[in-house]
Amino acid sequence: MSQGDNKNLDLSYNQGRTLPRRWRSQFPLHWDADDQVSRRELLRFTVLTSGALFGGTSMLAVLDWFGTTGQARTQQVVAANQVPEGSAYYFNYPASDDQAVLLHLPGGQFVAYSQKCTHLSCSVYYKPERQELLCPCHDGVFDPVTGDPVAGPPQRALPRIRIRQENGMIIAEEETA
Amino acid sequence: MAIKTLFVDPSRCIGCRSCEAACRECDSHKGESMVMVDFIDRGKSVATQPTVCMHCNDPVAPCAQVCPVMAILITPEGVVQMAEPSRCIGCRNCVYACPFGVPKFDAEARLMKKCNLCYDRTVQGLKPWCAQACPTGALWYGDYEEFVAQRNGHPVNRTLFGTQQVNTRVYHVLPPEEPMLDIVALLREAEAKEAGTAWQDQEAWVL
Repeated sequence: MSQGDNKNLDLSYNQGRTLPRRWRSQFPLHWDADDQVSRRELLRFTVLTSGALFGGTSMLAVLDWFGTTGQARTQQVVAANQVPEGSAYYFNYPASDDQAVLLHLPGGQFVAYSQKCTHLSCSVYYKPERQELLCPCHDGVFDPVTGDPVAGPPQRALPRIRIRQENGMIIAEEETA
Repeated sequence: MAIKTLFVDPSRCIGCRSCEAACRECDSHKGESMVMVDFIDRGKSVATQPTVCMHCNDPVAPCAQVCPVMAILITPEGVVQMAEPSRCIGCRNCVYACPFGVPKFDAEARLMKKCNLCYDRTVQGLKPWCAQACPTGALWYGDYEEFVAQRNGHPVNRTLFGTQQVNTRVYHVLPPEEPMLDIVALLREAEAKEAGTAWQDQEAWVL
């Protein structure tokens, strides 16, 4: 450091009355400049936040309860002879953006499920060679006959879509939770 | 400037310690007084004096300046607060820094305690407990103009420690003939009376 730099040094240390030094702004002496969080403030914040979370979640649960029950809408899916035994046909039901899967199980039975995994709503796919419905996101596995979860994180069965056959046509009738 | 503050008038103090008793009743430091009645020279005199926090303005609160953890904070009104218990580390810097010897260190609680001008009362316009209890007006609460209109004596809020001058929010009341409170001059005077040795000038010690 050269001699000239001394001008920029803080030499005001012992000169009595001086302007506050820069570090003082980070270590304030005054109440309003200080960001002390009191125990009471922290408690208030915690209680209000958890209350808001609880309220929000309950509201979502109530809305969910009123929103999804009884979605009955008849829709033609596909001709039964176009889905060979041991294969799947993907379609949209009940709304145009709700993915669903129709399975022609070995043995001739037709079943249909919502494609939405009950874990985190990824799409499940039919794996005929292993006889399972697989969700690739977290390796969730469902039984294609019953829709029950078999392996992986999902805990609930896939929503089943009630179907009937009429003149060789598969018709979806209702999604049951 | 109608800043309400305390006026400490030692000439009126009768040493009854009502202020201590009143202070001790406060729930924020129950059983412990933040005001001390000092017996000046017990062997020779009955003189007493209440000692409260002077709430230094300029240089602002030496106790707060030396606090390494910002436990002592100053309110917008200029009242220097007691150490925040969640922050105070019990280093006693404030005890050594205070020119008036006010902060008390509670070793058991590891916490510094001192007068906060009964902040909870004074923000609501009430008197501090000590001034409320004082029977002689040795501790008196009000603004400067009110004091001058009502009382004798000469209130000063400037104390000299050698070359270091400390302005305080709380006033000392001096006899009319005393212009200011110069501690070093008084000490030198006392020293000269005792032995005649000269005091050396003290260096400024507060930033």
